Amino acid sequence: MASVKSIVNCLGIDTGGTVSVLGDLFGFIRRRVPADPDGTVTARVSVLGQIRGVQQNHIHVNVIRVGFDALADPADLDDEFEKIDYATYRMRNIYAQVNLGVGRVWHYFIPAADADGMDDIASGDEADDLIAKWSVPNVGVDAFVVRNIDGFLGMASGIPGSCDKESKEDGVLAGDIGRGTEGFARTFAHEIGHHLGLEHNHGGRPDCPDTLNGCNNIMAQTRCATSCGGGIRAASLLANGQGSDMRGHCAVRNGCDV
Amino acid sequence: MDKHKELPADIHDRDLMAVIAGDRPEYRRRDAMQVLLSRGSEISLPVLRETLLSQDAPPDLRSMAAVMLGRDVSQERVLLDALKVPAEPAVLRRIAQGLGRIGSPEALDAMSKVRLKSGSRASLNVGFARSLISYRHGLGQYLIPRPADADILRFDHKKAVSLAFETLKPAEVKKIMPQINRELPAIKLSEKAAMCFSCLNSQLWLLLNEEMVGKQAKQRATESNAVMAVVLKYDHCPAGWHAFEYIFSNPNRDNTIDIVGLRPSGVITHFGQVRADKKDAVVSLQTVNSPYALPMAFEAIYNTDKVALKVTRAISSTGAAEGQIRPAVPKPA
Ligand SMILES: [Zn+2]
Repeated sequence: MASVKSIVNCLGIDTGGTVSVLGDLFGFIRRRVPADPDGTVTARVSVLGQIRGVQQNHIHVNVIRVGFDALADPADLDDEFEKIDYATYRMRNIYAQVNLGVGRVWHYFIPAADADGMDDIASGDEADDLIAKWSVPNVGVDAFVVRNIDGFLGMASGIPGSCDKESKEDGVLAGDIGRGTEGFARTFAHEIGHHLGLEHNHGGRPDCPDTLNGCNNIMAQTRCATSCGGGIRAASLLANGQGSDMRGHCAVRNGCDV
Repeated sequence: MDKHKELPADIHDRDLMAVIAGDRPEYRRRDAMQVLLSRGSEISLPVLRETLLSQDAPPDLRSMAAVMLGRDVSQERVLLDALKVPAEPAVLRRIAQGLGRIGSPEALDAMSKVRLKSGSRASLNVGFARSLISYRHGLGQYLIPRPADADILRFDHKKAVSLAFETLKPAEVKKIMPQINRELPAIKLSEKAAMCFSCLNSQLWLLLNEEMVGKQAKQRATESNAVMAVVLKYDHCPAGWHAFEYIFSNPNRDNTIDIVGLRPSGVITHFGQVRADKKDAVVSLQTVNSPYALPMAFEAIYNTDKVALKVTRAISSTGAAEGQIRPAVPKPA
């Protein structure tokens, strides 16, 4: 079996000699497995599963927190970090259905003073501006998490998104940290799904899919998940065809050969 | 952890109102308002008004109320009243943006009292809102100056790609007009001479202001400042159209018209000119240095009689132009 260290090296993570399995390999900010919001379920991660995940096609993600230092109650910061870690955990499990791994998850931040109002998004053009103005110059997908969004849940700048980090469509507005954990995590995986080339699975109509499975797909909009589907948590399916579309995106890396 | 739970899907509107007005944590009150708004409930309007006018309501909640009310032309009075209530800069910015979208000239006076940190994005937004009112009503105030020549992006045309575009049929535009009218409730856009551009993986529609179409067009364009056109972008998620760029016009004494493209934030992204050539108007447009727009060069002929726009050149650089402002890099955590 490949060692954790060899996998971490393959992911391009400079650990300086010490490796945190939960921090470096899984990308959890808190270096702990996040709690499942359903208190009756214990979230679990598998090192072997993650190694297999990156031995197959996988993506890297840059999570960019915007204006968290301006949160109404900074004492909540640890809760918000856990929410992001749960989104990482969920995305990995959701994408694993179609054999797409989530490799390196690196964390960045834009202080409120630098964000200059972009931590509070109220329209599509403001989301476009945020994604165009900021970019991490590496191969990861930029996923912005802002302090506040009014009127919608998240946005993909292009479907599919661009891999040119100087492009105006190289990232997603992955969500608003003020939301509930499960809804935030679903939007996070949904928007990156758009970036990887997936459209809504609503057919030709703008409303919702026709079937229960369709309503329970991660690419159904949240309002469909809660109306015709089994709810936000249940609506996380991916079909094989969607998987091959995602794996064909330019952000997808070849498996680590270790 | 209460915070990590969604509101129950079957929660009654009355209970949502109680949450919004109560003393629950701010995130919970905001969640409740989002749910109420997403239901399109009739009771949401009085809740929004009350929230915006309450000095005690949390700023994020008031901001959300201002954003929602600023989409409805019948709510200008509430926004004007809200300017009299002490508010955080973030709230003032949203009120001003709403007034920019829907406000009458009366709003300019009220907005002149809004003072925000000079050079901040909020102050840029408020300045743009004032200009938008002025250009919509042809008042000649708060004019957007032409950018410096050095700020116009030059790029190697040999390394350019053609921008795909097509003329849209009025019937196609008509189909999305209800959505556009919701997005731009105080600007009447024309179904004629509309163009669709494909940039990267986005679809952009350029629609002329109705004032720029027909017999009165020349007089309107040459005698006063106007919103000449609006570029709309289609979003897949959430599905719908949003204003992507406003094209303002500044007539010159020599019968030419300067045109300035601005993002809804107020950042200038394009500059060009319209000059008369017999019955036609020749339009040219280039990108102004910012991280928000690809370098491009656009030329077209607008036949005012036929109300037809014929694109003669539309090219874009494949990457950033030399000297273009690059994206900023977030700090590693
Ligand atoms: Zn979507």
